[in-house]
Amino acid sequence: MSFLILKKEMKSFFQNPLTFLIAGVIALIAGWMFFNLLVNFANSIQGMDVDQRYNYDFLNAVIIKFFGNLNFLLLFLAPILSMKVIAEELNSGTINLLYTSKVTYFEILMNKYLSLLLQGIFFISFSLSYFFILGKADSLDYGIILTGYLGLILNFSLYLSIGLFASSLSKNLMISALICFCIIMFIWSLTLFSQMISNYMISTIVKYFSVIHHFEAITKGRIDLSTLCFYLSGIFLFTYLSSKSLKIRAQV
Amino acid sequence: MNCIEVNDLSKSYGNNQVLNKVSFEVKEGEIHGFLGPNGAGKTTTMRLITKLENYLDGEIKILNKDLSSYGLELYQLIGILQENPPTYFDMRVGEYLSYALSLKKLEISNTQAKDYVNEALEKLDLIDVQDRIIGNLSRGFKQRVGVAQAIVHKPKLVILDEPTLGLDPKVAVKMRDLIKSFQGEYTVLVSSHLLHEMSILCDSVSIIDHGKIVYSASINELNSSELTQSKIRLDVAQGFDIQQILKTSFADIKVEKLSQEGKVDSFILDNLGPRDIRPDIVRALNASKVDVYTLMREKNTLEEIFFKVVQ
Repeated sequence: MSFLILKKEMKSFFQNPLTFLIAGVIALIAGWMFFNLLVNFANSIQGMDVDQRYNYDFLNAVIIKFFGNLNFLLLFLAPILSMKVIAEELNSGTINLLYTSKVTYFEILMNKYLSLLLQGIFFISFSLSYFFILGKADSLDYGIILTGYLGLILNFSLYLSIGLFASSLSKNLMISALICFCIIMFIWSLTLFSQMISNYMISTIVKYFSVIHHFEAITKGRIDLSTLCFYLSGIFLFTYLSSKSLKIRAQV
Repeated sequence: MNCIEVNDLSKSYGNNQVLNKVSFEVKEGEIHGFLGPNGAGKTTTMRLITKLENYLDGEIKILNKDLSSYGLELYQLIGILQENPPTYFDMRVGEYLSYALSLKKLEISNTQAKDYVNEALEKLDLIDVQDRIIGNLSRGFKQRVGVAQAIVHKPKLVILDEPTLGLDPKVAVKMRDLIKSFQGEYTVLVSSHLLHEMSILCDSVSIIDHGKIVYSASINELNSSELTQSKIRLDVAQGFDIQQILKTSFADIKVEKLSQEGKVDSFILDNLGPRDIRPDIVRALNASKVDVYTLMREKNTLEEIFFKVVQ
């Protein structure tokens, strides 16, 4: 597999001034979230005695909450990033250049997908600096931070595969973004649905398909096979659907 | 050797049959014009030849090999310009051509790749704009970038779908000259509904209408066929029964009076047959002591031929 399309996508990503504007806005929002969590934590431990302070869970109160907030941010970032990835090529006709080149649908999709993933990682990489600063002040559980980022990346990978699929469905960027957002919202809300279902078995099945359920497990350091299966099969399913959609579009 | 051979090609979308047993061939090195009104099936045929769509009935051969036996390597052999040139508006011209070339995955070195790009830039007269952003170029330049993309990998066959569509006349002529310069170097299949343009550009033509090939021949064959039977414009002095004079010498000739200006009558002589009978006409008129002001042969344009065969 060649990475020609990935190279071109990344080049045009970094050549676009909007990239740095979005990165700045994300860094600002994430920084504000992190700052607020720290302030809240500091306020909460005011007035506590030493023992209480020692037992007050910094990880749950700041780190895991912060990853939860970042995950919420990705919910909006994924549709924005992925909406144009195929839709724009369909709209401008440049997809025909790819169709009439020696590249397979798999190559097109993988290159596009990897470029989205790298772009997403670039945007959230700014948040690493908060932990770096925090680490200077006190000792941190880097294992949790690592699993937190792993959870974010897995979540984002799933969102982007959904975005890739949505982008292959329509030439209209807004429609692509909307489809992506709706599907992500649906798999977010499955946790809520599962709580409403009284039947244990059905509730467990519905819960399994909820992204929040798996994300919470990972950020708390619990990574099992079923979680990995959920993400990998989800990514595979939406990438497969994208390739089907691309093939159908090539014939139209 | 035939570069393209299409036999009994049919294609339907549901109940709508867009191609009905289309057959034509394009010889290696020639420019073949694919003519037809909008919606006649030109683009569909081109999409089938380039494997962008599947077909069930018929046969397509590219360089004597069945199209179905080609994989993605087909796109190393052919270059395609679709109706709207597929260009990334945020890329620079040279950068875009390098990208298009790299996607063809030819086994060439970086130096060769640069040479390929430079050659395409030179051929399409794009050297001066190679560092400019495509989005900032005029429509004519964008179209030329599209054609450069189609030839950058030195294909054997170049397929151009309406390459002059939407261009102003000056730019269209420039584009036509550029395509004409491909003659002998590439086999070119070019579609258009601009008949005058095709008559200048092509070595052979196929005319398609309602999904059927209604005429296919080389320009030489076309010139000697009945379809291109010429007409003669004749201006003579008044007071002669031209119809009678000519009918006695040429039984099948059709004489139509055009106008009368001052002391001159104008006629159009039609149904003349393939032989050039101008000297005979002059002799017949001289014998009847008719003063001749003008005798001019007017060949049927491709446009007239098109309407004849499409009717």
